[in-house]
Amino acid sequence: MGTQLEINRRTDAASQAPPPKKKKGSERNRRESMQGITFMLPTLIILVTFTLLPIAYSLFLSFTRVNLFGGIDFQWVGFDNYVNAWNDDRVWTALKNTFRYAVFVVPIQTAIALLMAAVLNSGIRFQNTFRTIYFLPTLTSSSALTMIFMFLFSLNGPINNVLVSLGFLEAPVNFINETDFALTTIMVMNIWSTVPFFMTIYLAGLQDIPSSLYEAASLDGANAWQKLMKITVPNLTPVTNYVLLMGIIGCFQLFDQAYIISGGTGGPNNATLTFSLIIYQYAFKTIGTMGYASALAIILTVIIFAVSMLARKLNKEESNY
Amino acid sequence: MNKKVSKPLSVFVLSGLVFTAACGGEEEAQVASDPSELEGKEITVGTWKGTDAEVKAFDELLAAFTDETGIKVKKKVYNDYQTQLQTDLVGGTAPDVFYVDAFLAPELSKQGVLEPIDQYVEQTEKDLGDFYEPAINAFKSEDQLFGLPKDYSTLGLYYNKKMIEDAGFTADDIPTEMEDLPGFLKELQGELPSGVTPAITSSELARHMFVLQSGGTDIVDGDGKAVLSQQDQLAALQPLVDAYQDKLVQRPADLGQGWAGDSFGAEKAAIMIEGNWAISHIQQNFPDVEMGTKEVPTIGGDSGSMMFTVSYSLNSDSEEKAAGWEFIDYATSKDGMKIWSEGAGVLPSLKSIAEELNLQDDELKAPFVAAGAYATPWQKGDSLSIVAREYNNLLPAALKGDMTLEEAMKKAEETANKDIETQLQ
Repeated sequence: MGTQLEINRRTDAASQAPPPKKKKGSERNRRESMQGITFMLPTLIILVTFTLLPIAYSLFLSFTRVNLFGGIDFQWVGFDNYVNAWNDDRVWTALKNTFRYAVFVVPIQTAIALLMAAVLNSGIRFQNTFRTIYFLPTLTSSSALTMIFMFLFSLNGPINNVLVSLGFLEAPVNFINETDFALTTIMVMNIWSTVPFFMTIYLAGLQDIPSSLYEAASLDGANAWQKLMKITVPNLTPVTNYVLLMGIIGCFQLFDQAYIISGGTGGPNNATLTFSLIIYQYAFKTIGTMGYASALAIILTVIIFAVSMLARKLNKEESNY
Repeated sequence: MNKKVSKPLSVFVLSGLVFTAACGGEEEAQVASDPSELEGKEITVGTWKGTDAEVKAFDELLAAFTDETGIKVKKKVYNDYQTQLQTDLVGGTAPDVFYVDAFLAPELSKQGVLEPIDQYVEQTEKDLGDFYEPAINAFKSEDQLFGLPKDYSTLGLYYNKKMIEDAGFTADDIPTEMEDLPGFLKELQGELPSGVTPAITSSELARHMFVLQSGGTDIVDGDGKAVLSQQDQLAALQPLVDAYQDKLVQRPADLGQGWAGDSFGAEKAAIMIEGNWAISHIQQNFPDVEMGTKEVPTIGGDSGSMMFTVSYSLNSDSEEKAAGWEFIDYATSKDGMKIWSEGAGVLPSLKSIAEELNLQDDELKAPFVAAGAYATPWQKGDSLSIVAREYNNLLPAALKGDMTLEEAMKKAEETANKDIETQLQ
């Protein structure tokens, strides 16, 4: 008991360590907290086993050169993996691709999602039908979507046919296999498939904006655009924060589309080499580079964290309601 | 194998046995002295899902094996073979016997997850002389054998009979020397309907390795470093780049297909260089296309092709090695090989079965069987995955003219070697 108090005092005086109570009270407290812990235990065990331990383990692996096959052997290499990543041209290419991807996709998908949500919330006819239809792409698996898009954008596919017959293009463009177009195709695909999900979130957010605000604005003579920019957008800032955050994380973790289009190589000519793909290559395609892959994964985590925080900060400063 | 080799080898093996037995006997081959004692055991065999015919033939093979030995077999089918197998190996849940692509064999054997099977071969007196030599060599590493080939595939030249004839040529006009091929393709180009490319091929290291090595320089040196930009290599590859830029040769992706077999089947190209797996694909999916096959044209007078082969290998962690070996032994025996190659329509890795099935007289398959004797196996040490990755990544830049071939190959070599240096050594 005495040692317990000492520890409490020593760790943090300001942390409102519970003052020593009578024995009876502390007994009850303890029982209550035991109860609480028991209820949380299943979640905690799952969280620790499947989330925290792997994170800690890969953090550890990122400082080693490791061979996971038959009798694991670690070799502590300090920051070698990180230094190698810094000097690795492919990592920079992947980073550049991923950034370019995020810079295009995140703002566009957020803006379209917001616009569509505003339209679908404005009381037009059949709005529930539209909501359902628009939500469909989100329910489809992204690998199936990729296959469909590869068909649509293929050399003999509908998109090329339409563009050629309308005279926009002289000859069909190889959207998927040309270095200049491959990443753009993935961008279009991803915007199309993620917009509905964010739209739904925006729709939910829109229900919370009191209609009196719009009525007051109408009395003052505001038009639809002004209402959108002055009422809807500022009031949705917390939702936008969430959407941006999820969008950024999703973009930086882009994997399946790039993997399917390039067959796992990141080609043509590194055009679809994303950060997640490079991690996958080192983790599973070359044997014995799990340590390097872990280091890259940690770097990706740090980047996503930093960019997300930055986006949140910028968005908060702009809003003033 | 002849007796001369096997005698000293058996002495060596025996002494090895005594030695390892003294140290706890961990690496001892566990061949059952009496096969009947394995009856009722169960082993797991890891495969990937092939064509319908392959699945059916494999089930037949398993049934025949169980009848013969009384050992039960459980199948474990991988969808993403390389990733899943690695995970299983790391997690200790890998099957007792599994497919190993020759391409991966050096990497896996270096990790010690494959059991060297020399001792098993020795003790069961299995005859290795009947295997096609390149196929079995693909699974040798540092004088140890890490698996026996279940079948093999080689590259050959396909031509569309009707297109060639309509253009006013016969099959015999197709050159047998690579040096004459561009000239012929040029002539052909003028006669083909518009929208049809004279020739098509996938441009990746797995198809080009024998071309790059035709001048005598290996693509990987003794230290596992990439060698891609030597003068003889560039000279061997340059005709392909020139032909590509003259639109004599295209890649399937340029024509909007996933692989050459589909382009050829869709009659977008008159000639293609592909593996024998395209035969059944075209017959099934494009029954109207009449095709013929020839051997790949010679380079500098030497026959060349690639060989892709897959082995049955023994998991070094397996607790049923004896039963696992029984399976490998049976599947690569004449009986097992016949069931498999006849049913699945693949090329048997045993010469005697190829003869028994009269494959050398098979109009379409004969050129691929012939290549079994001289083809270069798609296997080159444990750094090949990195070398191939960079080659496949940069060759398109040279084909499209964004870089000269020398620049592209120098860059591929540099990037690969940097990666090999930091990651593998």
